Amino acid sequence: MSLLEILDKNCIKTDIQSLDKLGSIQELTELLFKNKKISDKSQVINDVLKREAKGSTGIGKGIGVPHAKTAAVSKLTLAIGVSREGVDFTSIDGKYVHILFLLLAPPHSAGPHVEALSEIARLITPPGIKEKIKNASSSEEIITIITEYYNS
Amino acid sequence: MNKIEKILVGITGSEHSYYASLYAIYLASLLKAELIGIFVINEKSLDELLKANIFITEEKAGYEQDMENDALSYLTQFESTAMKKNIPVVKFIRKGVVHREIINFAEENHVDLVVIGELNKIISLKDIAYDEMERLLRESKIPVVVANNREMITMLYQNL
Repeated sequence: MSLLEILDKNCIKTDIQSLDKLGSIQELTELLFKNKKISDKSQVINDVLKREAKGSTGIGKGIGVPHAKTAAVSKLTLAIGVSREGVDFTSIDGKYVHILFLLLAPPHSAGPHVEALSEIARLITPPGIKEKIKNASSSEEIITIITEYYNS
Repeated sequence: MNKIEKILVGITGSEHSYYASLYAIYLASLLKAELIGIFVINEKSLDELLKANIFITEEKAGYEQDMENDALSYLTQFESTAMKKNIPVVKFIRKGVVHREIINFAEENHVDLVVIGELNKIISLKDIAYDEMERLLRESKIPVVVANNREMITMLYQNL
């Protein structure tokens, strides 16, 4: 699976304004709602926060991967957010998050959900790619960065 | 091998695997072969997500359980589809690296033919490296049939 299959360039925000976890999740949720990718903003936020309550998805090194199963989507849905200042995501290493991958999956699609999360984990591994995404100034640029990753 | 006696189909819950199952049912009927369905829970990905701190331990266990439930559900659907044409099915669930588990199962159980769904479109070189069905096709020493042409497959199944 390629993340490009589930990522709409209109669901990428390169200027996340919020400095806190809830605010940043709300911004990305609003973006998905505006682009008709989700049916219910409140449900998404509740489902994502329920997962966050079990343990932060700020996985360290400036990356956050909030994710949830939610009935508010009918298929795998991804939004990406970039914050220049950094978001306090209560990350495991104490550092602020600069890149957020919000992944939502319908219930009963555990396999594809796991596969998509694995793809995100692989994407952020190669040296330099996090910096490229963090410094991108447009959603098109982020799409190009991800495309180049897949073609490398 | 004098004839095809055992056919194995990889069940994943995807549309590709659905048409693979129809074709496998057709082939099993035609060749009077035993039909086996296998669903492999991708344990490697679950472990990777735990290691990457994307999953917490409790969550990994939860997803593993979900995947087991999905496996049972998809295998039951496969069985039901086969029984509509009076073809009995044997079902298995395995955990591990998907293509490796299917290949190992096929070799250990003297399967004669493996049926898989049409391959995903290759968007990048990484698809070849990471796509489990692509790897199965390349690494299997047992003949593999790729079930392309949905219209034809549907017609063959319906005409059984």
